Amino acid sequence: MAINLIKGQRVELDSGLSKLTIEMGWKVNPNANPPYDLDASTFLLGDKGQIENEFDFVFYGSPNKTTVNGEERPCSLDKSVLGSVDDLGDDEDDTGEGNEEIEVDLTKTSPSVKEILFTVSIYWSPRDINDPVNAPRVKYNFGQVRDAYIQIRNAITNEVICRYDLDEDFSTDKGVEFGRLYRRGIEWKFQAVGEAHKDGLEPICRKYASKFM
Amino acid sequence: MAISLEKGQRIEIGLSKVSVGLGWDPNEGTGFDFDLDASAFMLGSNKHIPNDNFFVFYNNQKSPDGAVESTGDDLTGGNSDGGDDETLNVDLTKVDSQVQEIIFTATIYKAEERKQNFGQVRNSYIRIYNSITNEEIARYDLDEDFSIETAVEFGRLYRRNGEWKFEAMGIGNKGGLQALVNKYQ
Repeated sequence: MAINLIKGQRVELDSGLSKLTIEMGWKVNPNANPPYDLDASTFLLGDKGQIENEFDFVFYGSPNKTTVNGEERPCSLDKSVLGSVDDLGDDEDDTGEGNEEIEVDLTKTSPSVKEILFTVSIYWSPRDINDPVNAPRVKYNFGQVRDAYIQIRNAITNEVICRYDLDEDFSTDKGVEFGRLYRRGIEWKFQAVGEAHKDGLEPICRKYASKFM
Repeated sequence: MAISLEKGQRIEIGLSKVSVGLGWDPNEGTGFDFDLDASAFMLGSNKHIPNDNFFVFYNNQKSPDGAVESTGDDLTGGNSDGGDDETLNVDLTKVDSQVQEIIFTATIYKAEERKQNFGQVRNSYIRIYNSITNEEIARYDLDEDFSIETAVEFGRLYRRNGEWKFEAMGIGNKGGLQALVNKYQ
């Protein structure tokens, strides 16, 4: 049975579990113009809580891409993390519901990687401020995103192992650290994080990928 | 060498000066600061504090006998980068004769209002060490061991045959410091 986590909670994963699907979902206002564009990203962190090479920030702009079932997907240097397909926020079906899936194979994770962090951010650019079309995006935030969650599934059986429903408003924030897998001794654990950042993906990169900024 | 801890494990102290250190990382997100507090309840044989002065916390930083003294309240975790942010220094030679045991606790200030728990507080721990040799006696990683709790009774120093001994307790609760005050006042 799936465990529902609260913010901060940490659970150990069964040691036999190595192929995981990390699903992050949300609901945005389908009538927003321009549309909300939410992106799931992954950081593979080394000892110092920083990515050690630029391929270990797996996101829509990753230079390292691999083709799976005809779709191009970003992937980490050790190939243990396969990023999501960038679906421009709401799966393009006009309901406002969206989700992105990231595949993780812990057997491939480099020993130097201590933590795999999953984030979701609302896309915007500082240039939007003076852009007649995109100016509204400057004010977009998680307060207008509903039913956000992260859940981990066993990628082989599809069984949901644990789930965290974000229950805070985050009404001034464009970026949220949803959850993280991390090594604890020889085990992997998962933590429901729920930590927000005002300006979206950029401050999260400054925190975890500082030498590549 | 630090001893690996099992809950309830008793460790000989046989020493006179110990310190309890509490450390954690500041909040790097947009939410409230993490304000953790180390406190001590000095209990008589009836398992209650003889009077309020024997509860050492942020508003009473020294016990009347001078045996337990706080180095001060850290409101954010910023005092030290990676080390102890709050310390309770204990001189067991000074403990008032009516005190039979001293319970050390770690709690999160306003945890309920701020919707916080130890799991959210990176690198949070509480430890006790011999303050003469700096040798660590016991330690809990609060973020790993008490991720959904807001208060923990870390351990107790207690008198046995004229000596002080330490016992790790590791009892967490979700009621913060108030629940502990209700228990020991």
